[in-house]
Amino acid sequence: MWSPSDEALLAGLAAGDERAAATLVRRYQARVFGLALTMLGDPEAAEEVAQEAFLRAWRHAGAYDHRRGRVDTWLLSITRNLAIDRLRLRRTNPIDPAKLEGMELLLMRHGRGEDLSDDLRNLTASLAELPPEQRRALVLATLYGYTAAEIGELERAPLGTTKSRIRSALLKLRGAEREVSDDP
Amino acid sequence: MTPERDCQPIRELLPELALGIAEGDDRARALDHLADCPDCRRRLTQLSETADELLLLVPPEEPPGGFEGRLLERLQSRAPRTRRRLLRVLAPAAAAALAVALTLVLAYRDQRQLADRYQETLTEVDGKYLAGERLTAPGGRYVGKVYGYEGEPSWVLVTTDEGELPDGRYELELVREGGARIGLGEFRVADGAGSGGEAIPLDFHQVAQVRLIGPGRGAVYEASFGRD
Repeated sequence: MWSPSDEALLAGLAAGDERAAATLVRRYQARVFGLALTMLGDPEAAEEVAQEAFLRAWRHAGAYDHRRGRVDTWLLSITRNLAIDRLRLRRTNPIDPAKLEGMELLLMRHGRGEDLSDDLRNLTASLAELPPEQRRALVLATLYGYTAAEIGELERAPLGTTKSRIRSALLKLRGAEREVSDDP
Repeated sequence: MTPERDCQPIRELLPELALGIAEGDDRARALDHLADCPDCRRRLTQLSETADELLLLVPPEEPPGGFEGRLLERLQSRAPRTRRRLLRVLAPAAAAALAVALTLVLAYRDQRQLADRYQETLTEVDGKYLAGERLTAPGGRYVGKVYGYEGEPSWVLVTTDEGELPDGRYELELVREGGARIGLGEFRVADGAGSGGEAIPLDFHQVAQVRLIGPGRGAVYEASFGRD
């Protein structure tokens, strides 16, 4: 059965091909909706964000550069930014610690799935090995869009300490895949 | 080449930049540095890859029934297809208009002759005028050019010069006289440079500023179109 590559589908999108759009939507709707739902916790808002993410991808398909990243992470990154915009508008209450811990466990449980690549399983293992305060800071930044100052306030930690936690966490995860280096 | 000592404080900011949460001065300082430092840009790209991959750890969830149908209906009915076609037409159109303008400048040094030919060109395409301004970073550093065209439709074309802005996805925005903002969508800088044209939903003479907002709502690059 014909299974076009993500890049071919995006090229089709850029050319206004409706079949390419349908195939791309079917391929990624669960991931896009899953991310929006996880971040927003509200199915209605999640659907709006997921739909808008695909509409943006459609509008910008012509500008997509495959050398700059994969199609799935590109789509998810659009979804994340849209969800964060929503979260920032309605951010009033502090995050329930149990909910945050649930979010961390969700990532670590799914990331161990056998259907995932070795790279993603390694990433999950490194996430699990992070000190809890670093992992919380990373999740708050990634899935809630909190800035270092906001995380510091939530965690009652000085700004410098919070920045250092975020930095250490991401560098450790990167180190689990490849060394951050000057090498191309 | 950027001295290593200048890189160190910026490298400490790169994780926040990669996660899209860097703020204000930190962000502006980092973006300014990244514009001139390929090593730090490469590090940022690497960290951004990891930050993006974290999103793949979120479990998928099937959307509610009818999601695909509703979305495809919107995709088919909304402007994007028309808009994209327009964009494809616009880019060459803009390039052609600019090429004509440049040719005129070179070929007709006599100002009155130049003005006549410029007018003829606009009459040919039923346009009113073509304007250009410098796009500058906070502090006034030149990073590119913005062209605006008043016609049917009016459009803007933005080009950034090689190596002036860090690679990434920027937001293109118009500011109307009076301050109202109109988002025009994404503008990408790749391999050190970017260019893009867009039809705009108002007459160009109503535009006071064209702005590029750095990735994650960071530094703002502006071109102002003053009215005499």
